[in-house]
Amino acid sequence: MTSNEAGISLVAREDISWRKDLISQLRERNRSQTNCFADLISLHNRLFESANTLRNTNMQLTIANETLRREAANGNIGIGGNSDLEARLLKQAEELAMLHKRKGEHTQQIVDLNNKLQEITKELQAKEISLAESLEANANLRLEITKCLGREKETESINQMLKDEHQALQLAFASLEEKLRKTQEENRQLIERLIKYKARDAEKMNEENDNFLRKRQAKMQKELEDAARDTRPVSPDRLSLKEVAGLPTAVPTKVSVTFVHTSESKGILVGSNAGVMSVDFDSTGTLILGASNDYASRVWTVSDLRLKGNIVGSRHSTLVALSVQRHYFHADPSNYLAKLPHLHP
Amino acid sequence: MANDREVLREIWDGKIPVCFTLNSEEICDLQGPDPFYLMVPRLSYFPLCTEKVRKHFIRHIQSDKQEHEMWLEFNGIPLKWHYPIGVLLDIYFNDIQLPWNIVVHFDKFPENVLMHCQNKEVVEAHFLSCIKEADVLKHRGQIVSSMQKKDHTQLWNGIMNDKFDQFWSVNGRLMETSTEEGFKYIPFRCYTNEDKYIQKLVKPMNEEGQRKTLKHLLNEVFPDQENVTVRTHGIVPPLETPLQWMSEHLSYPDNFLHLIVITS
Amino acid sequence: MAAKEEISNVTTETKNKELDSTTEDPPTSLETISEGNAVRNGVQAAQKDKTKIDILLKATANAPIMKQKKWSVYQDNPIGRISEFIKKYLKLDPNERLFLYVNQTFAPAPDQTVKNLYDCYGADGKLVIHYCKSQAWG
Repeated sequence: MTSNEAGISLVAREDISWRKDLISQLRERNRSQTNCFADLISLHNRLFESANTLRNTNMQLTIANETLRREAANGNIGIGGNSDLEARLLKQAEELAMLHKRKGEHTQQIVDLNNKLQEITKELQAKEISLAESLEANANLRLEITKCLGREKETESINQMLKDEHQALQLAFASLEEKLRKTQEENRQLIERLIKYKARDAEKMNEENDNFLRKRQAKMQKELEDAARDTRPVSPDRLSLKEVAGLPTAVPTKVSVTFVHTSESKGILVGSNAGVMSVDFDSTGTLILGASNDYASRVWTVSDLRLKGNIVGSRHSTLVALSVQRHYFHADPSNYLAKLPHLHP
Repeated sequence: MANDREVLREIWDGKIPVCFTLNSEEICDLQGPDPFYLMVPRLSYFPLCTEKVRKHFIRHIQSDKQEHEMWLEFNGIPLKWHYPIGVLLDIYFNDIQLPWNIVVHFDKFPENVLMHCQNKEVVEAHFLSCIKEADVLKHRGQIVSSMQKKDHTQLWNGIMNDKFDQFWSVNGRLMETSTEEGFKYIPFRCYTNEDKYIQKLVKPMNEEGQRKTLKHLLNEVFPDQENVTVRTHGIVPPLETPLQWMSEHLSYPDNFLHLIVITS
Repeated sequence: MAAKEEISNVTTETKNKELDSTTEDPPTSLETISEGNAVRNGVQAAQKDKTKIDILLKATANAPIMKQKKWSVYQDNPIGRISEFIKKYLKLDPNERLFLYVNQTFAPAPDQTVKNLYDCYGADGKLVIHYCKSQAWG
């Protein structure tokens, strides 16, 4: 044995008889032990398995066979093969009858179902018709609605227009009112001025009258003084004031109704025989009461200026006439305030 | 470096026919089961091959025994499942005629003789333990400890599924040598009888740096005997076969050389 | 077969002498005798069984530590018997598993003999065995 390095080079170079020997032994072994038997055993195993499967199938078939035989044997005992067939025949006949019956039942069912089907189709149609009608009504209502809406719109527009006009008129009215007010104000102012002027005139006239009267008074004084100087007896009963001193005295004898505002003479109330000392309206303004010196008071209606009545009886000449509410009073110099009997207008 | 693929392939392909029969005492139906024939690989272990055997026979035994562990017997001797099948073959070589007739038992498990094998994981654990032990002898355990779990699994799967390339792609690493001297020690077991084997520390090189052969190993193991011959894998290797080469190529998948001493 | 047994006897006796010179404190002896061998050949079995090997049991992981760690066992005892012994000693449940490891690497098969293990993995005259209740080194 020489010492060497790697195994393979050793094997290659050295005398490899031992290796050859080994290899041949191994091959021989494998040939005799393995190869001979391998195929045989695998075939054997395959046969074994197939035998097993066949045995199983066989057993199953036997079992099936047995069950069939048993079923057959349950039929008529002793008659043999025929009974078996007869039993089968009987069974088939029964089945057939049952199937016929079932067929009849099924046909009946079919008829019933058909009827139901027709009914349902009819109902369906009716429903469809009513549905169509409802739809139509619906459409109509919709049309009406649109119309109403249209009308409403118109009305609204007219309304609006009227409102506008109204507003315009309001404005116009307001302005006119304003103008009126202004005019009235002017008017009032003018009347005030007029009254003022008239009052001034009246005052002037009064002043003049006063002046005149003063002058006359002064004259009369003078005369009186003159007269006093020449004494003469005088009777107060007979002498009216107008006779005194021979002065032209003015005592109103008539009542003239004058509409003060316009200084227009409305009329003359006649009837009083002597001088009228006082006049008054009644509370309603329709009657005038006048007290005169002829020992009577007279009542006139304003509207037609006619004498309504006179009340005599005063002992003296009435001087004052008052109408208080619906009662009339007159007073005479004897200082009696007499209530006149009520005069119904 | 296990380079001689031809040898490796021939070793790997070794299969033997076995005829399994059910123990006649345990047959429970009128028609006993047919014997079951199977080709089993020499390099495998019985629990990995006998699933079909179990399924075939289990219907014919008493139903309450069906959960029991199956065990095998030859010539009245219970077969140790943790020996590779080839080793058992070589041990009983003289008595075996192919196909190997093995009796299948489900009852009366021989507790004192056999270990229990509940499932394939037990076999796997034993197999990997042997690999580790072999590596301790060869490389002080460095190579196997540098391997990952998936490498171990690949080794086992290679054996279980009979995949030569899958197995040797990992096993090749276990057969590497970093130095010229080869392995530290050669992992081997010498079977003197069916129950006993010898395991010793033997280097592949002697002090002079020469490669040792099988003869040297046998001289060391059996110093008092001359002309000791051994059988392995069903063949008798020549005595001048180098030990290192032998360990690389003729080891079983558990990386041990299983040498059965031939009795005359 | 008989010849071989004698040879192994010779080898074991030489081993025995080595053992006596290296042991320190007297190890305790195991009383158990391997039954299988005794059946075969009474005289020679007795001779063979007398050889003892020292083992040192070390606890790993959560295994309880034995008070007595050093033992001397017959070399032909299968390692499985050592395992059973440890379980009984530690009063473990029979259903509990005990794992033995050599070199902190592999678990030997239960029928591997103490002799083989010592020849291959013994150091300083004894074989160190680690035990634990769960798988430690796979």
